[in-house]
Amino acid sequence: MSLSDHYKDETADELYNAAQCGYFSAMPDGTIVKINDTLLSWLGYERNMLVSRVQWRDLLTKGGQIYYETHYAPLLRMYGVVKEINFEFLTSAGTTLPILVNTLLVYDDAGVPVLSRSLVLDITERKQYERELLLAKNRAEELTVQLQEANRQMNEILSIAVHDLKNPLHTLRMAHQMLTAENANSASTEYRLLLLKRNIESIDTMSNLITRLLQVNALEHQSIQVNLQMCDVGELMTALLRAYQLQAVKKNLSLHLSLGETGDKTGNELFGDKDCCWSIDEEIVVQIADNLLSNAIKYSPKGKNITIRLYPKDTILRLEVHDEGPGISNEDIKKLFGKFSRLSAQPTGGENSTGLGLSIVKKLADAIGAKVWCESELGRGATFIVELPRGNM
Amino acid sequence: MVPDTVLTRNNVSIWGNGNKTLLFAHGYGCDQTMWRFITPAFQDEYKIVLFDHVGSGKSDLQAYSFEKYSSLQGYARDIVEICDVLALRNVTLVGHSVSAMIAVLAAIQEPSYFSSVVMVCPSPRYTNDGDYRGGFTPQDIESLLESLDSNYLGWSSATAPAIMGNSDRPELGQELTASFCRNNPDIAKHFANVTFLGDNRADLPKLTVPSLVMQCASDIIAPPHIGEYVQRHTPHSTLAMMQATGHCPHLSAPEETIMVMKQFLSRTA
Repeated sequence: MSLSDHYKDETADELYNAAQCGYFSAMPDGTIVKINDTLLSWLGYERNMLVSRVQWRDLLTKGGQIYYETHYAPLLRMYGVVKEINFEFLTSAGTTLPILVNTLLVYDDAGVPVLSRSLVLDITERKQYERELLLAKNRAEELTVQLQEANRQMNEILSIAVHDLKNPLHTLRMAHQMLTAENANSASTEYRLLLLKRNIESIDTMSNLITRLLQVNALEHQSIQVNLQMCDVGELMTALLRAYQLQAVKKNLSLHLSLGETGDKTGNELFGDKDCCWSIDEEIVVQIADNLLSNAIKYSPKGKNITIRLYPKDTILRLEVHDEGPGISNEDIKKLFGKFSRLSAQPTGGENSTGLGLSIVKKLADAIGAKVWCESELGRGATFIVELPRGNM
Repeated sequence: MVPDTVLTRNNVSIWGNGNKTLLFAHGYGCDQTMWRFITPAFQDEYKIVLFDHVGSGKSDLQAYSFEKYSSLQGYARDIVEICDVLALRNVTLVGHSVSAMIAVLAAIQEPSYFSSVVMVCPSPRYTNDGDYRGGFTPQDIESLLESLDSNYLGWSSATAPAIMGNSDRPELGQELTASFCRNNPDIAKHFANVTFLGDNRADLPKLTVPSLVMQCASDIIAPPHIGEYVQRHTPHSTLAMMQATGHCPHLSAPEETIMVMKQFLSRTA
């Protein structure tokens, strides 16, 4: 026999049973009546365990069974043929086998369905690939949503920033117009000086806003480097309070530092208290406290107290900035840490607010794994609380 | 509601004779075409009204609201609105699978419109709950969603809106082949969640009109003990245990389905 004549020995039975795909025939109710060796070996069952005993639907996963009843069976009955339906078989070993099924319905002379014939392909590897595609698709969709949100925020920041830069610029222009007007010489030196002073304030406002915007931008686009080192947080806060002393005096505010939960000692007595030696990022913690303290000063009416309270609690160090200002409504507390969240409170000494400070605080706190929130009641002051985790050192 | 809006929204088809109406609500996964084997047996005596649930078949996909259809009540409201705009009274509402519960809800919302309810393979809750054996776990439903994910190749966003035509003609056109059981995947998944994770057991006792529970043998989605449960908890209900197998007797055993329905209709008439 020549090499090319082997196909002549192939029997129909051999082609059926040893095919590279599964074959089975079933009654209209799905009971298996004939099945080939290939499919039996995939499923891990003996022929007599399935034939005339099992509806092939029962070999599917539960979800597949619902799909069979709600989609596959109606489609088959309506059209007499169903193609490329993906199911998962449960093998006798308890593993799953992803498959594609094509089924053809066979009718008798009266047009009544009497049998179905199905072809089954093992699609294990293709399924793997399909899952990867699905994952990639879901990831891409998630990213799109995130990007849309980032874009929306960016546009919002841009429009607010533009608006906030326009006002001082306008003031600046007005002042210059007056100073260069023909009758400018008739104005008093005091008046001209006042205009120039206002110009400086306008310029400061704009420059302040730009600095903050750059800060926000940097926080959003670069990962924040955290450098932990042992330092005395009490000492850091004392230095911070000292730096704000002048501003506080101007508004007749008194600044305090208190250590421990009930401590009411004033700052200077607490130098070198070792309870407050923590491993933290000095720069970030100071930046957070600086923002909170300058806010407290900005929004406190004259003659009130502002207290920075520090106390360790389990594995965290609690830093509180408490003021006796007008307090913050529940409504405002929810919006407090968003960008440009303009709230009802107004600075009490004509200071300006960029609406960015607390969003920066939130970002910084996130970077060092600290929690930050505000507790307040209208008319009873506000307390900003930062819980610093003890760094790994 | 503007009549046309409702009729287009739910792709409503109406034909047949008679002052009594049979209103058919298809179940999860398919559309109104699945009633085609049994409707001819009723069209001489009844007005036949078919429709597609919003999100299925050739309904107006634009009308799909994830909020409205987050409970079966939304679908039930649609049925009541169809009766409103067509001024239908004395209606026998036939609901298959999840639509059996939707039918119950509609008949509770507007009892005066409906003379009776036929529940084909109903289940008030598909997942297990304590002693209650709904048959499925939330993980099973999760795996159904995976099946939907891997089988929506037949649905294509490009072809779906173009599908038009009259679904009550006897032969199935090419365009119908393209739509039957092939729904927008996001909607199909949402509907699956609402259907298979819902619980309408508490609604059954509120049904005031007579009802028929049609129970198939070897139905894994709504097994016989569930049919018995529905009958036990629904006032004025009758249970018909059928020889038909599977979950769609109107497809697998149309003659038996027609016979059982006619028996019930003649008794309640």
